[in-house]
Amino acid sequence: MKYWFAAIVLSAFSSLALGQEPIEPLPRHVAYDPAKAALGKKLFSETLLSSDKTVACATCHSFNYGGADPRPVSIGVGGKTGNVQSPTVYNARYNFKQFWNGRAESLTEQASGPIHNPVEMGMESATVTQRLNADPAYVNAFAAVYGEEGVTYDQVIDAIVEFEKALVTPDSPFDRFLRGEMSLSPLEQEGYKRFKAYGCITCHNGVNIGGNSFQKMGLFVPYEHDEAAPDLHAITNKRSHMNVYKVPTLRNIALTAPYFHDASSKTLTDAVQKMSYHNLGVELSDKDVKAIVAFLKTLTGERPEVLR
Amino acid sequence: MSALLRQIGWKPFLALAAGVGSFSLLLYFYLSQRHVEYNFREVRGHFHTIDRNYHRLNYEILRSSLFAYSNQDEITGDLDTLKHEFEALRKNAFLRRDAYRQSYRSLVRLGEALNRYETTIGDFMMLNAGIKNSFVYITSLSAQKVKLFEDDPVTYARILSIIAEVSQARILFDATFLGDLNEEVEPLGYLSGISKEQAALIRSFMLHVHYIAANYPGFVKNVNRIETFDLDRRIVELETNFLDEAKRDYEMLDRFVVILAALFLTALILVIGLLIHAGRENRRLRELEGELRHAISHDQLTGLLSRSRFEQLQAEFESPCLLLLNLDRFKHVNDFYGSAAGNAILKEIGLLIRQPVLEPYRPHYFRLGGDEFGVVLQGIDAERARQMAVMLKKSIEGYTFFVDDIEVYLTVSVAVNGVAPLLENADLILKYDKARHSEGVLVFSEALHLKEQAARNIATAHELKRAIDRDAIVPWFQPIVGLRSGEVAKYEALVRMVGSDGAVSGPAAFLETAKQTPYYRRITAVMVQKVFEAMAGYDTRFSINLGMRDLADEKMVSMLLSLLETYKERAGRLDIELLESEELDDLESVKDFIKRVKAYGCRVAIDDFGVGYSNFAYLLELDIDILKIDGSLVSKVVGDEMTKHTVKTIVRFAKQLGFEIVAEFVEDEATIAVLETMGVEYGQGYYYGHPAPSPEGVTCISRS
Repeated sequence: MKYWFAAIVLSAFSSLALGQEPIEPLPRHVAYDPAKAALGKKLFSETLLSSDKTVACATCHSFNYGGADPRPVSIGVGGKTGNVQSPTVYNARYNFKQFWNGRAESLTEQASGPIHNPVEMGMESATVTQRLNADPAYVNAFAAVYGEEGVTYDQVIDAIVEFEKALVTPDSPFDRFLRGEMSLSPLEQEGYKRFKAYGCITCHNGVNIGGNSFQKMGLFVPYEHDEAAPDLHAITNKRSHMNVYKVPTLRNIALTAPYFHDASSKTLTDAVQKMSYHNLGVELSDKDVKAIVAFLKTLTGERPEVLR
Repeated sequence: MSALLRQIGWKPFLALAAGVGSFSLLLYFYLSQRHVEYNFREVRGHFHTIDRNYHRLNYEILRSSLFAYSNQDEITGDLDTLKHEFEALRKNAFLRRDAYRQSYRSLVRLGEALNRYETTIGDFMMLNAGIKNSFVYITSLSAQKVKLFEDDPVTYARILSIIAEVSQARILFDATFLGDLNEEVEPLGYLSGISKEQAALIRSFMLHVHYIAANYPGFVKNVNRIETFDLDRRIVELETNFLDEAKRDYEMLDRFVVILAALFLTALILVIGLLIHAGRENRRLRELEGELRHAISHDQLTGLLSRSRFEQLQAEFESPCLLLLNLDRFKHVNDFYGSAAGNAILKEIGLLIRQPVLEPYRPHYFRLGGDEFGVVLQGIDAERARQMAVMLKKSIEGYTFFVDDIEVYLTVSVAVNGVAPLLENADLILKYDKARHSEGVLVFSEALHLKEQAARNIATAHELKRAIDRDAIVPWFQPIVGLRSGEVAKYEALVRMVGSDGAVSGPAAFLETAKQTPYYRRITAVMVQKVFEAMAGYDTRFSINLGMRDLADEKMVSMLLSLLETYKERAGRLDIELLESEELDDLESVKDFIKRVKAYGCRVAIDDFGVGYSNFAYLLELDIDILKIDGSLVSKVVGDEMTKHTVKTIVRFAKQLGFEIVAEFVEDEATIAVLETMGVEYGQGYYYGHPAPSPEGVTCISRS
């Protein structure tokens, strides 16, 4: 009885302690439909979904590069280049909106974007289903999962989204630190402290360490504005929304170079310096940067279960 | 089927329809009420979620503006929920109904407010990050490094003053305390000869101060706007409108309930009415049934039990004894005083026979026929029963009935019978009793052989029928002889029945029985016909016998007359002997008959005169030609002085009236001698000849 009481009190306090931290660990396990996710996984790497059959989702969201694209700008069908650096697909379900400028409210909305985008995959919905229905393996696989004859576009999107929902990278050292399962090195801890003290945390918080608000790139020191860049201004046409982007997640940030929408930083150090200069209005010392980078490196999680 | 429908009637169907109707309405009401209730709860549930999330969101925003760092997932999550709930409401079909037009309008306005709210929050979040970072930088990071300017008191003081000012504005959440920050910070930009580290501090410090100066007033306004956002008002407005409209919806349901209740009550009243009606009908039927049963089991007039009731009860009586009372000649009372008077008398008799002394014998009183009453006594011995019968007879006969102040007295015949079958045996004894005119009370006993008599009568009737069929009714003839001449003067035809064995029987064997059957008329017709035929070759007179009562029978009379018409010549030689022994009811019809037959030359005789109702008076009235003195007197003329005087008187009387006189049963010469001296002219009897099948066969012993 006494132990129970102690356990309850402890868990109450620990949750309180966790609650006080503005960053939440990723859940270790997420619920998803394994059959759909498996189908989605296959579709994610399917080049049939692009007009010239050269590009798949995975082309620009490589699982070897933190679910993102190591190239400054992704290359779509016919060698066409995009206007933005591909963000990671990992933990995308925890973003409050999708795309750099948040134009998709959900993953379902997002998934069609690249498929239809002429410089990415350049496909009509009808062509997608036509191609998949021509492939007996897909027809059977869809029938097995959805219990209906004939592949529909909605099913394709649904399967891909289900797969994406499974792309969660739990158990990063920092998450484990938050859960009290391990300790961080003094440098890493110092980095987290500075991360908070300098105000990175004001935007990079929550379960995804970002991805839950918009922010202007160059809050204190203006950042060069590219008219062609897909910022919030491109949607709202408000002057105040120039250079405003969804705050990106910092999870697996060590894997997803290059950084920023314009891939302007090749290293974390550079990215931290640039960000602190423009958006925190501070000039960090090398020591500060080193510590923060060390902290950022603790945000790399395990490869998603569905990929293992 | 239609017959069945007609039998059941439309009312139960009406009740059924009303029942089914109100039940369906009840079901409909229940479902619609549940529908309204369910949707009402659901919508209000959304309202509450929106309200709750809105307030939590405000709290989160306030929190986020106060705390240096916070988890913005809470804000985006709540906003998401808010939008989600709003979408659910927007898509709710219930709110899209016309009845909720006002609510839907409010909902649309809420949606617009929600969009503005979201934009405001977006602005807040972007501003908030910078403001917070600047505050943190100015109030803590720079404050730590301000000692870099310890050697420059003016700059040092300026920086501290700005820090204080910013802190105050921050703490008071009021931008007006900021003063002209840009101006105050301006001199810092002109510092020269400072270290690289100092320069970096100044750069950042100025950056943040400028930022605060530019954005804090807007930020405060933004936060205030969020905290005083009218989303609350929109929610209240929506809820108020919704409650108003839902109330109307409920009122409609209430009206429906009233209608339903009215319908239900109507159906109920209808059913109750039907039940009452059915009950009343049932009672009426039962009463009617009782009346009918009573009518069947009771005599309407006297209130006594009926004959059919008697049949029913017969099996239930314990050692019963029936006193059967038959009013003598009651038909005459009815004819004379009218049936109303007769009924009054019958009613009185119904009361009279209820004698207290009968009570111990558990009596049942019946009216068994028009003038027949029955009293069944149980557990009484035969002698006592006879006494009771005498008592009843005396009470009735001693009673003075009044018909319009005229006294009427009745006599009654009573049969007492304790032998089954009760009524039949009593009937038999009563007939026997009436025939005998005894003291009027006779006790049935097997010893009377009444049943055997009845059986014989039936046998006789059968024999008669067969005889008619066989043509075995034949006339025999007996000569009537002039006493003085000893010569046959005429023949009397007598009816005989020849049995199948050839045995011949006279009228005594069958005529009385025949009179009770339809064969009697036939026998008469056959006889007359045959007599006429037999007398074809003779020139003597001949006679046939008729009962006076036969003359009241129209058919009999017309049959005789038509025969007279047919045998006109022979009719002139016919004497008709009327049997006087029977009671004469209708003198007029006899007179009329005599008149008519005399037209054919017939003569009329009175038969068997001197016994029974012999009455000189009507001899005077009727146009009689011949008087036949009864054999019982004639046979005693020799030896019985009294009879001799009687016959002498009759003869004298008849002679004075000019009647021809015939004596019957003349069997010896002594008798003939006496009769001759008296002046009797004709005689018949064994002395002169037995009856024979034909006039020739008659053996005639002439008196030398």
